[in-house]
This record gives sequence, structure tokens and C-alpha cells, in this order.
Amino acid sequence: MPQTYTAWKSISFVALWFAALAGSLSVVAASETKFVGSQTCNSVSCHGRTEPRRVSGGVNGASLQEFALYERHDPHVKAAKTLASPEFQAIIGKLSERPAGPTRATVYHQCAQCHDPEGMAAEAVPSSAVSHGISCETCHGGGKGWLAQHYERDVSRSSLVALGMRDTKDLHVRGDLCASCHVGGALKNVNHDMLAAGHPPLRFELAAYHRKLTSHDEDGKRSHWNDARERIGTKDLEVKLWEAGQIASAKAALALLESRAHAGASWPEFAEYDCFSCHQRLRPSDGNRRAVAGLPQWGQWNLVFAGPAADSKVLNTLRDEMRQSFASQPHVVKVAASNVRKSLGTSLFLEDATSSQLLKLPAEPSEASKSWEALCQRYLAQRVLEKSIGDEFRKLELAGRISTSDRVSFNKQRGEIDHDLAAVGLQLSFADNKREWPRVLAIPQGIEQVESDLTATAGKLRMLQAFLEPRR
Amino acid sequence: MTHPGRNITRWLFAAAMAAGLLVDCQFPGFVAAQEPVQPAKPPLDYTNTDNCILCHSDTAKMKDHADFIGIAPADLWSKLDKHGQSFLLLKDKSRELTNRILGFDLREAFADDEFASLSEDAKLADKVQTVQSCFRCHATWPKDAEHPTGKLTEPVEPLSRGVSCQACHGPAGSWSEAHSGKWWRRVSHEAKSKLGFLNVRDGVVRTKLCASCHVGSVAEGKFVKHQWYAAGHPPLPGFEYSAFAAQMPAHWKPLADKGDFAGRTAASPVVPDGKAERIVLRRRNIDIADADIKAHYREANFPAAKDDAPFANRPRTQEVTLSGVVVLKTYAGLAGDYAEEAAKGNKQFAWPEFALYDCVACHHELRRQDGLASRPKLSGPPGRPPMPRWTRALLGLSTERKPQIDDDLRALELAFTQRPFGDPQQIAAAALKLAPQLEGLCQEVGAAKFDEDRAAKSLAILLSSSATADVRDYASARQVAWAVQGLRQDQEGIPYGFGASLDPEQQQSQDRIAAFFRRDNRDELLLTLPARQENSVAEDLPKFLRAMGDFDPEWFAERLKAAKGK
Repeated sequence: MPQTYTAWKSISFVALWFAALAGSLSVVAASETKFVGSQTCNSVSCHGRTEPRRVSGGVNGASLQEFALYERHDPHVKAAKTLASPEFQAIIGKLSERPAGPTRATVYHQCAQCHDPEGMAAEAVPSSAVSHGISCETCHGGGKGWLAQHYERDVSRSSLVALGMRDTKDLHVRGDLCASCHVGGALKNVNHDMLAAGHPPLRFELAAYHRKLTSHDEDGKRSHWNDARERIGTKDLEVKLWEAGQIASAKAALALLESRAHAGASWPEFAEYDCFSCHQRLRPSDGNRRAVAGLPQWGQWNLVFAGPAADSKVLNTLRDEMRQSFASQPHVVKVAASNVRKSLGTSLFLEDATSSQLLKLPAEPSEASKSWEALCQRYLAQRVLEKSIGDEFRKLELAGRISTSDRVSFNKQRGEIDHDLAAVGLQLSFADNKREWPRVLAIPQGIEQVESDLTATAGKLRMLQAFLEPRR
Repeated sequence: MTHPGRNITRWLFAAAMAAGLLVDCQFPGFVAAQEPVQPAKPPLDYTNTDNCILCHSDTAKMKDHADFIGIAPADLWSKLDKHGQSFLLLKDKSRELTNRILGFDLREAFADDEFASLSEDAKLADKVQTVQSCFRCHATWPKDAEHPTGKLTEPVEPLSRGVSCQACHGPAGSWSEAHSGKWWRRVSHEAKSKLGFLNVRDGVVRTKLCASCHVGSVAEGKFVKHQWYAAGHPPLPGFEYSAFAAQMPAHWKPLADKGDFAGRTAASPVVPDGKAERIVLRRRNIDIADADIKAHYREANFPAAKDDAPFANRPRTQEVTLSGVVVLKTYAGLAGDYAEEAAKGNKQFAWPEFALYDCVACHHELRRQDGLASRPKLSGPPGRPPMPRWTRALLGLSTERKPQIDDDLRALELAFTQRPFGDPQQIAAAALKLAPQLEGLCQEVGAAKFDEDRAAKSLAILLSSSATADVRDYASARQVAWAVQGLRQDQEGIPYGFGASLDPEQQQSQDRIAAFFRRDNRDELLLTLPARQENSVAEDLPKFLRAMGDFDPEWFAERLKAAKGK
């Protein structure tokens, strides 16, 4: 969906660009000797074809050109290059030069957790085709145990998992995997020191990141996997992907908060808070007291929609703790965050995750819903809806259940929503490259305007859904 | 015009003196034999401000002092100066803002509709306390002041007078009469201060006094917390004494502009030793000993000064130098006192208190890596809010300081950033270590000679490339710009006092100096303060905040480079 992609691109926080380079897995797995190296994966008879494998004329299942596609199109392939960039040198320099601060080596080790898991394992696997950065086994798991079995016709997913392969087809597993870097964790802590040194903030949303990888744009860019079969076979896969991402992000964010509070050494951790609470130009007070005047708001990026998956009582306890006083006692926060994390279920909905369910889900909590972060998440959720309703309509179309006039009408409505959302996306995006300041925050009443725009597009999405439902 | 009230007071005073003399003559030794007792609490001894206004509103009424005063301070104060309106600002002009900052209506804390005294209702104690803390700066109501009737809810001065005479000159109950005689010029500053008189002629005393509100003082209960700023209290705009005083408009004549008044130095016409007046004071248990009557004004008021320094000093050169030390000392004291209470776990001193840190450390837009060059340069590592950079912008001018001060200052800065917001205990300890050294430096600078050479040297220090490279934030830039202007004015010999007449050549220099930090004929840094009654800080606030946000360090560096070339 090129339009969607372009619109999404307009929210081009630097975060996304950089963070997209970062994804990967725990280095613990990489440093063990279960790795066989991507050289093994990318031979021309396996995943290293330059043309897709065709079965009776069509591409079905694994195209066997995964490695080529990965190398050509996937941003993760550049992860190692990031570590050679002058920007990285500047960041590591700033972080290691402070008095009594960490050494360069310590900082590098920390960065490599996400940016160079392959490099950290390179000693053990000298044959690795990609000796730095992120490669096959970073995400799919060290191949020693399952290499010999995974191409066999009758092998089951569960038996491969038992052998050490990661079940990336499971959306929750995939969500956790991506969130482990794109949100972070105990060893992958993009804290405020790092942000101030120049690292972009992490703002992850699984479905949007997928669209970034899978969208075909002018360059014919595409992901190294083909999920057409799942999309056809699963109702509202896009919503399910989004749901898995929301829960995985919340889980990772809470674990990160726990570890930050546990360490305590640099508590309070600013990275937990809404950047724009503090980072704003001083302006005359508008008289609206949103929370406590002069206290930063806890950043809600990873919890705007995740509430229903948690026990609301413990979640409110944590929210109160983070809201009431800026410098909460770290051990109290740690326990509160841990309670919420443990209470997290695997679903945000009482029923199967579908677009009609998502349309009913309110963004919360109310006092943070006016923040830029909450508005972005609402925007992203509406993008998910727009795509998912579109996908479902396309399925009906392929089944021959849509008349020409219906198609025209649906496409017209959808085009309008896309247009409206593109305008909202522009408001939420940063004004230009030099001044990284979302437009919406730079104009008076901007937040209120975007809020009402999103309410309007939500109404239109509901109408689109209503148009689709009877034709199923 | 006759003022019967004033005449009566004078007459009564004269009569009292005569009676005193009589007693002294009739019973020689009677008074001397009695050990004079110091008044219980002289510094809390407030008098009705009408007593001050009586004389000080008209030069004719002070014609005996024409050589020394020459202007009518109370007249200037009431007609031009804003300090007197500081309470009415809260009550009337900016009431809505006041209420927003307080979180309740100002009236709630008062017992009456006239806003004469605060409520005694125990249920309102918190609100009363909050409101009272506003009046430490917005009226004449020092923390320790007690109302003559003993009622703590009644101000010592009607609030509507705002910051009035005694707020700065000290409670005048013990000295208001005494200071009207010429002999007062010879009274030692120690003796005067024992009576509650603040020797504002001493630049150190004066600068500290202003800084106690304009920078703040936890000890004196003068502290604007971040919550109040967030609710709309205008930022305290980077106080620099010399500029603030020059724009005030000053209701005094600087020593540099005064002629050779009686009692000035040994060479000036002699003034009496106030023997008769002192006898009257003794009867009120106020003693000014013979030893406290000095030979002349300079010895009494500036015992540590070198030669003719207080009169010959380039006034602005001394003031900017002193301001640089006093501002830092006041800030370090404020932060140290606050941190100490916070470390003790005092709930009234929540930690962290954002108002203690550099505003622009957080309040800037987020920029990409390549934009970092234009970000304010602050001490310490990125990502940790440091102490306000501007508070040390002019420290470099005090060449008297020992390296130890710089070391200890670095330790204080480090205490702020070793962990986010610093460890209050460490901050308190570092501030405590720094305080006596900065106090010593104040005294040294206060007594130093500020001649033409010093002005030139000071300018060179400010314009040295290492110093200019350091100035990357708005508040520091204003400090430096004001200082450069003041130093240049001193070099050009431009008269100091408010409304002093300039000859055409001086006027030309003055205009040139004023134009130097203008950009496209705009007052880019807002060096002109909203200091007159017709100006409003609240109305100017959007302009001020815009100037802060738009500050262009590259342009400023360019200006400093150009200044160096001249």
C-alpha cells in the first residue's frame, strides 16, 4: 500500500530510522556456540538464491532468496555500519568522557547488544558471512540444533522450537523479539544519558515497523518473508500484529523500568518521561493545568493501549506512583512495575482481535491522552484499522463478492481516510530536520485540533467498517 | 508648600534633644553612669513609612543635605519605580495569574476585603503561609519581622506600599530620627547596622540585598519554586546588579556623581560629632559610642577601602565585578540551603526542585545531532541538568579570587551532575565549602580599586576567546552583554546617575554602546528591562520567552568578536 507507506513515512522521527537499524536479539544467545554463521544459510541452494523459487509457476512458501532480499532491502543489514559512523563516534565519545563515567569499551559493549550481536559472536563463528551487525541467527536463533532438520518436509514448528529455533511466525514471539531491542530491556537501556548524547529515542509500533519492511515502494523494496498466506488465512492479521506489538512493547517497557529502578544509580530516569514535558520552549502559561504544574508526565508510549491486558488495579498503582511525584522511591516503582508486568495477559480484547474490536478500544489513561505520544499511538492504531479493513475488503473482492459500484464507493471512502490521516501524520511529525519539534506542539491548540481530527477519522473508519461488515 | 506634620515631628525632635541636653547639663554623669542597654531586637523595629516620605519626597525639605542627597528619593520611588507596586500587582493588575500560581484566590488567605491582614483561621494556615512567602519579595514583610502589636498575621507595613523604604534600608524605628543629622555621616557602619540600618552605600551590602529577591534566598524565605514558574510566574531574568540598578530608575546619587559634601574626607568641611543627638538616643537605650564616630564619611563607611576608592571607582566596573561574585554566592547559598533541608528529609523541600537547575538544560527544543553545536553549552555531561550556567558568567572578572574557589565551584557543579539532579547531601556540602570563600571574595572586591586600568582589563577578560566560546545560552549572554556595556560606559566616562545629563559627545558614545548588541535595530537580548511603572513584566513575557528561545549563540559570538576588535 504505497499511499500508506508514504503517509507513515511522514512521521519520520529519526527514531524510526535509527531504531529500525537496531533490531535483534539478546547477545547471550549469540555468544553461545550454537551459531553456525549466515554463510551456512545463504548458499545458493538454500536461502541465497537471486531469483525466487517457483513451484508450478508461482511463488509459494519460502522463496529461498531470503538472504539476498535481506541484504538488498532490510535496514537491519546496516546495523554494523551504524557503529562505524561519525554519529556513533560522537555518541560514544560523549558517553565515555564524563568524569567517573563508563569506559569506551563498556559503552561499546552496551551498544553492541543491539547493533552488533553478530560481531560479539564473531570470535566463535569465524565463518559468518556477516561478521558484524545483525544476521539470520540473531533473530531465528542459533542454528546448530535445528539446521539439519528445518528444511525437512514433515518437521513441525514445535519440534524446531525445541531444537532452538525461534518461532517467529508466532506474533507474540515475534513481538517480544523485536521489542527486545526496539523498546529495550535490562541490558539494552537507551537511557537519557544516551539520548542526550545523540541516540534517537525508541518509539516502536510493531505493525507500522512491519509495513516499513514489507511495503513495496519505487525501489521494489520488500521483506525477506512473504506473509500473504497468513494474511489471507487470518481475519484482521494487521490488528493481531498490532495487538501483539502493544503487549510486547508494554512488557518490555515495564521490564526496562524495573531494571532502571532496580539499578537506582541514575534514578530518576528521564527517559521514562514524556520528552515534551520538559523539552519545550518556555511560553506564557495557557492556564490549563493538565497534571501537576511543573512536573513531567510519565511517558505513555508503550502503555497507551496496553491497559486492558494488565490488571487495572496494579496498573493504576504504578501510574499513581509515576505521576504523583517525579522522584518516586525506586524500590517502590520496581515492585509496582513488576506487578503490572506479571499481570499482563496476551490479549487486549475479550474476543479475537479484530478491527471492530479495535474500533471500540479507548486510548487511555485520560490525562495523558492529550500528549503527543498518545496522539501518535492513536494515529498508528487508525493506520492499522485502515490497512486491516482494506485487507479484508480485498479478500472479499478476490472472492468475487464485491460489486464494481461497491468497490468504487469503498475506495473513495478509504482514500479520504488516508488523506485525512496523512494530514494528521504531518501534524504529528517533526517540522524539519534541524528543529525536531512536532508541528502539533508548535501551534496553539494544536493538540486539541489533532484530537478532534482523530475523532473525525475514527468516525469515518467506523463507517468503512460498517460498509464492509454486511458484505462478509 | 507647608507640611504641618513634618514640622511637628521636627519640632518634637528638637524639643526632645533640648530636653536631653538639659538633663545632661543638670545631672552630669547621670546618663553615662547608666550602662546603656541595646534595644531588644533593633532589626525588627519598623516605623511608619510616612516618616520617611515626610522628608524624602522633596529636596527642599532636605536642603541641609543638598550637598549629599540632592534629589528626592521618595518622589522618584512613588512616581517612577515599580517596587512600590509589587503587592498591587498581585492583588489587582495580575490577580488572575496570582491565583493561578497560588492555586486559590488570594483573598482566601486574608481576614478582610481590604487585604490589610492575613487570616488567623487555622484551617487556612497552609494558604496563609504560602501567601506570606510571596510577600517576602512582593511587599515589606521580612521573615523575622513581627508586627508591633505582636500579631504575626499583620504586616509591619501596609501591603499596598509594596517593597517600601525599610524593606531595603532596614527597620528604621531606631534610626529614623538619628539619620537626619549630618553627624550620621560619621557613624561607623557597624554601629549603624546594630540599629538595623543597612549600609546600602556599600556595594556588597546593596548587591546582596537585591540578589536576595532577584536570585532568591531560602534562608530568607524568598524562593520561587518550579511549580510556580510552571503556573506562570515570570522567570527571574538573570539578575545583573549594574544593569538592574542603572535602569531601576535609581533614587540615589552614586558616590561618583556626588560633589565634595561635608564630612566626605579629611579634606572636606567638617561635620559635628552628634554628641547631643547621641545623648537623646541613649535615653532610648540606643547607644552610639564615641569610638563609633569616625573622622569622616569615608572612614566610617568604607574603612577597608583603599584611599579615595569609593569616590574615584569606576562605578559600573566595580558593580559588574561584584555582581558576578554576589550572584554566584547567593545562588550557591540558595541551592546549598535547599539541598541541606532536602537531605534532612524536610517535606517542605521536595527533591529534586527543578527551579535550582539551569532552565535551558531542559527547556530547549529537541535537535538532531548536527544541531548540537547551537545547543546551549552547559557544564557537565549531556543529559544531566546542571546548576545554572549564567550564575557564574561574570565570575572571571574578580581577578582577586584564588584558584581554590574555581576548584570548589567545579566540585559543586559536579555534585549537581554525578547523578541526575545530583545528591542533595553532596550539593549542600560543596555549597557550604564554597560560601565563606565567596564571602571573602565579596569583601575583597568591595574594597578593591576599580580604575581605568581595571575597566580595560575586565573588558579584555570578557572578550577573551575562551570566555566568549563559553557563552552559549541566553541568560549568560545577557550577563556578558550588560557587563560589556557597563565597562564601555565607564571607559567613556559617561555619568552614572539616573537622569544624569550627558554632553553631546557622551550621548553619542552612549548611543553607540547601546546599539552594539542590537540586531537589525532590534533589542535582540532584551537588555532594556521593563523597569518603569508603565512597563509590565507579564505583558513582556511572550517577548522575553521568545528572545530566550530564539537566542542565536553564533550571532552573539560574532558581536563579541567585533567588540574585541574595537
